Amino acid sequence: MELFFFQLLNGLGLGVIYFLLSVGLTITFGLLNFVNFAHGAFYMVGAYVTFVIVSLTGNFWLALLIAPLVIGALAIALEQSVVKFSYVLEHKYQILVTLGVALMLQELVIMIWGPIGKNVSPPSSLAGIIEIGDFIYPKYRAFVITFSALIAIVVWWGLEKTKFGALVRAGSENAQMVGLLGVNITRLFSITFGLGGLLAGLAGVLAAPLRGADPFMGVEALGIAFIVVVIGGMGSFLGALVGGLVVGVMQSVMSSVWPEGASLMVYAAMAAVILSRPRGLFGRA
Amino acid sequence: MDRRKFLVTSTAAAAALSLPTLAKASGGIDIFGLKSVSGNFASYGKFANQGSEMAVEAAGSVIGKALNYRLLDSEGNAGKAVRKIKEAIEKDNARFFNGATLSSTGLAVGKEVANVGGVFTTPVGADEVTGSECNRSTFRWSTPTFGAVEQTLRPLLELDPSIKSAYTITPQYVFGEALLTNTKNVLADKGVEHVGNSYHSLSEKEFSGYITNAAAAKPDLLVLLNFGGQSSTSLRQAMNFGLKNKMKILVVWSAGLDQYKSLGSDILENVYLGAQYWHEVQNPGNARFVELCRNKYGVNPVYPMAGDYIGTKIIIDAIEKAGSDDPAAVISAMEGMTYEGLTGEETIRAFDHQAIKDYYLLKGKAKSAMSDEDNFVDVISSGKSFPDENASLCKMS
Amino acid sequence: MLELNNVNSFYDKSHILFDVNCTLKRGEVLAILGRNGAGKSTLLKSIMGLVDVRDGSIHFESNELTNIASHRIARQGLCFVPENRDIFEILSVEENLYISHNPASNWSINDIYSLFPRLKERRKNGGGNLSGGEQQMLAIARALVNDPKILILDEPTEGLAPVIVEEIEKIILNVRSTGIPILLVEQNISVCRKVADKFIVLEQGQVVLEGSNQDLSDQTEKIEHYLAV
Repeated sequence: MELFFFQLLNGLGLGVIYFLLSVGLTITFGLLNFVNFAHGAFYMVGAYVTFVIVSLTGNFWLALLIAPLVIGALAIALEQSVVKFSYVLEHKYQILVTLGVALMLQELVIMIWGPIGKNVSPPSSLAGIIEIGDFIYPKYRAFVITFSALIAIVVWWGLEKTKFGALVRAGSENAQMVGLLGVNITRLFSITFGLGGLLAGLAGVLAAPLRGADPFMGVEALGIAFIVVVIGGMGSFLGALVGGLVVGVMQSVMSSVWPEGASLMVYAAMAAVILSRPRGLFGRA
Repeated sequence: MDRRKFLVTSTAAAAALSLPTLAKASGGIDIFGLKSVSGNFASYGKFANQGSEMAVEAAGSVIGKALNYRLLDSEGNAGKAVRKIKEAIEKDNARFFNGATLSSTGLAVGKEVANVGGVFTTPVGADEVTGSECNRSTFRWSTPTFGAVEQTLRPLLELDPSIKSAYTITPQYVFGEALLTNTKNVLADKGVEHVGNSYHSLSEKEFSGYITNAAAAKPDLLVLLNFGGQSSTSLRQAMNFGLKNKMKILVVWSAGLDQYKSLGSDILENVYLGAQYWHEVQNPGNARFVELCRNKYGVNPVYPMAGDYIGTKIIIDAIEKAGSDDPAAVISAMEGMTYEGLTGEETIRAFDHQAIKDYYLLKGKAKSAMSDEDNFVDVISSGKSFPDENASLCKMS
Repeated sequence: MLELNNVNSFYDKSHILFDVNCTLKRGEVLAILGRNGAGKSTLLKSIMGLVDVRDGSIHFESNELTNIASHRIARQGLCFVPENRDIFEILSVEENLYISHNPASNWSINDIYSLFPRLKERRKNGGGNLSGGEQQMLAIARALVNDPKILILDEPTEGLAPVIVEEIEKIILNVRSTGIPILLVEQNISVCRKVADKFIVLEQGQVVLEGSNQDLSDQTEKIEHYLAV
């Protein structure tokens, strides 16, 4: 029972990272109707920027502050230069364009740091474990859960309580109408795309001390993000949150019950959702 | 001209004409290196390639013929590797090969080379290479699973009798299974309780579940039977969970210097590591190799370099010993050949073409105890353990 | 204020509007009539930059509007209420107004609540929970708080109950009295008679008839001929 509780906690930890990874993707898809295959690359570059900052300064907190901003800027730069020309194209071209960007970033990383992963240590203030009797849990993981929960609340507040958030939500329903209200919709797209990238980069920063930085983590992350978005429903913040937690908990619990089947169970869950609620748990009907 | 004179003249002319062709054939000996210089294993391939190059350069020539090194890029893919090997055999009459990164590639290439009676030395790890799929052309320089476990787990248990229980974490893969079977045998033999095992997939990145299972079983020793990136990640995560303070940890199949560099001494301190090669080991063969590497690249050699350096050097030494570059003669020369290897004096066993070499048990050092930036470990013990002829599955025709 | 000169609009290869001319002055209400498919919505969409104008021009005051981005057209004060209303169902009534609100507008959000008590009552409700009439009210309200210099309405009374139609007529006249001109696509001739100063009739993308409010009564038969299915 204790093991189960522990796996649940672990799953939540994984799940909040998946949420951070997916919320940008779902909102970008909802608002821009854009399939962003470079999204995983933002996560990967976030982890590498963290590696660089920690190697140079030894300060993880600095990386936590700077790396997401760097990735956000990268995302906006990409949007302005390449992505925005593909909004009017069919999804298959969007996939090609963003996949191309993702592969370029991956190869760039391999060229600079090689294909073998890099280690990132958690900050020394969080290096220990929390011990309650027999129950042990790394401090860093506990931090990741609480910090990500805080970010989730900030994002929720941003979406629900600010004008910008209302515009993003309105835009994901009907972008043309938002433009007809006099709102510069191209700038709205840009900023949203940038924020989505920033959150993915943040997920990468948090994940780096857990599993290191390697060039192929972007592909892996993209796969998970898409599953979360499909399960949770496209364009839905709540969907990304619930979907992320579901996938995280399922992976974690499965790893002690049936490790080989962990991936299978996640895909099975996705299939079940598609069959019963094709729009996802919280997608718009 | 009468008929007899004509025959003599034409024979002489034919002989004169054929001489240049013979001279061309004795122009040099080609050694083909099969390396994964592109693709997912590019960093391994790059070092492996450097290792072979060093061996060829250091020798320069053998039996009066110049040595040429030719690179074949396997791209980390067994299918592509086989195609390139076939092409080299057909077009360039290639007969001497060294390399392969993945066991699947090594096994496939070994078969191709055996078809033409060539010579192939490889460092890949699967037991079958000198076991059930052995053949007359293939020679292996690396210690497979039996020896890796025997030379790490056994000496560790003997060194530390306080270890009464062990938990294993195993990748669900043929190789992992082989390590596990050998581990279970040694544990049983030493009367150490095997309190549990966790399997994981080859793509697993999240080991917290297995680590907690392990911690809950409260073993004296945690044995990690995974390799490559997974051994790094699981070791790192075990450290995050504070397992180092609760039990001893042994990584049976560690990758050596490049892995230690990426993990750092904080993680490695007091962890037991099994390795095929360590650059600080003192013997004439290794001293020569380390010097070559430092002179050429300014760094200490890593295992991929070492494995293919010695694998290439063995071929050159055997050609010397045979006094000929006829592959059949070289194979005979290699069987039973003793030479100055990288782990000391080494011998190539005749019945299965396995190089008999040491495997090392290392222990991670504290940062403050390191004498230079690469001195991550101390050598605790080393030795040679290989299944004997009765236990071996190798039956060469 | 608003001038269309020989506007030719296209959907891809389909030529929809042919040399359409019309003008709109301060305080005027211009009704656009025609049967379904005549090009009435296309005309409005051409003005709003939603449809390709390949020949001709559209000017507002002295600014050229032809084919510039919709949000820039809207910023100039052209406020569009589409046929589908297009209110944001995912937002509440309040939020729909809030994101539209321009402090420079003649109408504040409180003014809206006075004009539309039903909307005040339902202000926390999601847009998707409103009735058809309430959605139309909200769509118009949203345009009013957006600081309109011209109000453009596409079939505002379609499918609505007579009592709501009356309310909409009142609002149109109210807006007109502030000097803001209104462009109105409307199939209901009696509504046009009550609010329009002038009209044009479109048939197959061309202006086939135009006239004043008086002509709406005098030429009823001719107009009905063009509206008949």
